[in-house]
Amino acid sequence: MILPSLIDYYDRLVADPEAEVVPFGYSLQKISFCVVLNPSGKLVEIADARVPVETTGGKQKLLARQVRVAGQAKPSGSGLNPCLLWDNAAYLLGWKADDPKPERTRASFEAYRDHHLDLRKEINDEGFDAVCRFLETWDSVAFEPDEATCAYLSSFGLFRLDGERGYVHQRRGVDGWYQRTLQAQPSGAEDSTEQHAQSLISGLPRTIARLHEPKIQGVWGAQSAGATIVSFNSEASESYGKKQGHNAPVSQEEAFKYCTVLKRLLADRDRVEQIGDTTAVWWVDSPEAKVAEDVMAKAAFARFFNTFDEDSEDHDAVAAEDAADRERLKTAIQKLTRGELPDLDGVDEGFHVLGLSPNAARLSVRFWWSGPLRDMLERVAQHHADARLLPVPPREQGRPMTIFRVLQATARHDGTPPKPDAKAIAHKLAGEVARSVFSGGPYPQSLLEAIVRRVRTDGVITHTRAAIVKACITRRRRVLAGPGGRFQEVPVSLNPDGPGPYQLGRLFAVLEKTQTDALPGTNRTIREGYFSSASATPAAVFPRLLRLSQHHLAKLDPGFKTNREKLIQEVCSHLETFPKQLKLEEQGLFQIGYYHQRQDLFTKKSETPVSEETSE
Amino acid sequence: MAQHGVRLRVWGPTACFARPEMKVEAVSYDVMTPSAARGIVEAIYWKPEIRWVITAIHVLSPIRFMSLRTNGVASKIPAKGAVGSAMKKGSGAIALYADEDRQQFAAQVLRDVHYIIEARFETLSGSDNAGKHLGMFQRRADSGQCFHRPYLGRREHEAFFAWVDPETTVPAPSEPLPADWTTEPYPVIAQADRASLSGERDLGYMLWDIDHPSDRTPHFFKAVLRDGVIRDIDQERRLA
Repeated sequence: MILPSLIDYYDRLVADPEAEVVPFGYSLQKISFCVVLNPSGKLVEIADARVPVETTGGKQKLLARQVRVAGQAKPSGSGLNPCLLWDNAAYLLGWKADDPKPERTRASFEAYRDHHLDLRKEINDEGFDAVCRFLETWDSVAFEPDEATCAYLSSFGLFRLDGERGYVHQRRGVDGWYQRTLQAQPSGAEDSTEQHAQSLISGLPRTIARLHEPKIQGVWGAQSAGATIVSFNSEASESYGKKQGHNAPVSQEEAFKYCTVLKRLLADRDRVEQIGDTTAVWWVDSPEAKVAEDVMAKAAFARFFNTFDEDSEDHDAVAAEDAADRERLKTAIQKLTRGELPDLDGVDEGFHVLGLSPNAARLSVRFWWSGPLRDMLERVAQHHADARLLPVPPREQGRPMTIFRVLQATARHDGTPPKPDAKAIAHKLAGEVARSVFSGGPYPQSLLEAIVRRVRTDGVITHTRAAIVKACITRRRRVLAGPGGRFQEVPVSLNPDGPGPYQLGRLFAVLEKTQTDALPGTNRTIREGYFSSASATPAAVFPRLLRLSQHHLAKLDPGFKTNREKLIQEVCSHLETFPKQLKLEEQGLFQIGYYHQRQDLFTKKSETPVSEETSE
Repeated sequence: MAQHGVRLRVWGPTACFARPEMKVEAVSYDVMTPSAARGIVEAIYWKPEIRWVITAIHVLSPIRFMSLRTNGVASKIPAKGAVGSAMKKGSGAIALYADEDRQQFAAQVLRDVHYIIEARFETLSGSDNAGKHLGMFQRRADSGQCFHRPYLGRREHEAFFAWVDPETTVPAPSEPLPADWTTEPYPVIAQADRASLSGERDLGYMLWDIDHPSDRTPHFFKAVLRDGVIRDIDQERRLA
């Protein structure tokens, strides 16, 4: 229930005075100029309302200021639609820069004037009167601003009385009237096609929103003006003769609430992460659960933790609150990364994750998860437990297996640490992986496929890749076994009694090491030539590799040679035959076996007491 | 007015009971809607004399989602314009050229769904011969007959169905399904983890049905999944 959760969140924010949320019926607009009038409606000046902002280059720049005004976004379209006490210079002053259609501009101004004069009696406020008098006497044709004024007439403008701090629309008389009209007629009068129906969110009869506004900005790749989740922008999407928003009865107030709060969430960089083409945003039901939320977000998503180390500056940015909080965050993440549940406050609060991906003017939901934060933490811990694979190389230690890292491993790898490249990741995969982590379900088969195929072509099996392969196989077996069911575990560290394909992987690692020991500095090892076929069609490759290894063994020192021969025999003793073909999952096991054995061969014996049989 | 109950088991690899607010870039409800269930029952047996009412929906498989990308078109062939005049004249262009009118949609659909629909029918007219209708429904469902292929929310999500004796007890989520219920060509993975259906889950307001006589107005009801079942759909509806 995506929209109800967002609406709940909005209601909480509105109740919190510090949150500064725009209430229904208002919006924030970019205001660049202000028409200052005296009480009799005479123009005092057209003031610059912009505020100076320090740019990154250290220079000062003037930017329009955000002011809360009555009414929603400026309606689009070609009709004349004056706003209440705010608008652009064409409506406000009957002036437009390099005007191609002066008649149209004049008509706008006249519409604006008439709109306000109509309300004059009803509002009955001194300030509003002054504005009306100004509009009556203003000669838009004679108005010719100087160059300096033109510079700030570009955005929206407001009215202010000379000597007053607030704007006219903020005066008690005007705002009071506006709020009364909002309550009496929550729709705003301009929409003549309004309909009443049962709202699908509250179940109560309401005025239905035709368009859902404000538009949602901040989804990567969507239209910059904003896009909508609830949108019927093509005829084929409409049903039962209903038009636009009437296809989905959501009240105007509900639509405003969820759009506003979602827009706000997406603007908060701490709560947004890009996963493939999907923009993920999350929130928690209570502010007390902030640390728990942070832990969760960092362990599951955060990209900067890919370079996680204690001294990095990123780490300061992660939780700058105070040292104690940071320490708690760190321990909690480490615990979660080991697959354990950290001890945190607020874990019983509700937690929500929404993944949105763009489709031009529409947004589509890629994934959605909602439930207690504890459940989510458990799932993230489970994800890390499933991906636990030893040994972990020193520079990978303590790094959470974030979703992004999983996806990154599917990208091409030339042996050096890969750079995050969101473009190299299959977009669909990103959403599916995120969903698997959140739901605890099996990882998509396409993930295992992508990694196994990538390893076969690159010949590079990193810890991350092996860990993901292991996680995919483990998770699938567990889900198939059902809750409490028994299933065959995939070896976490080198296991001399592992399954057949695993032993084949081990054997390949030993043969490769034998070759490089015998012929140091070889340009092309058997890995380059045979890894792919050895893991897919062992019967076609291994007999040849074993023959070849005899030549390599002959080049080794006698003692060394005996040990290596023993090891090869030990591995072969677990194998009955060389299978003709290995299935995808078996190829995965092959790669894990290869990873384990190779790590073992390259590690000094004292550090790995598990691998006695490799003593040299 | 006499009322008579039946049960029908339906399943399929994918399903999409799109929420109205997200039906373009579709997001499915967690569970089959009553109107989708009615559509399936009516596909198997319907007569003008009777009206089907869905009373309960049992969810047998855990709720799982997947994403799907589909191609579609942006426009409809106007029923009154092109089609109307073509019908009058006997000739005319009523084609849509998909490649010129292409739209791509993403969807969050359910996978491996498995339900038992509980429905009853009311006799609207004719002789109140319930046995006749019941018998016909059972024979048709048993032998796989249908007026048109029933589907799970959208046409592309095929529905399979089987008759269930109304006296059968539906196993609770904590219990395994009877063996013959899983021998159908049905993914094993969906049978695991049924325990996740235990307890109470508030599904929010769900589409109940479309009121066609009053300007095709949609009606919604408060759906609560208790131990894998949404019960009393017809009564819930009256309260809403």
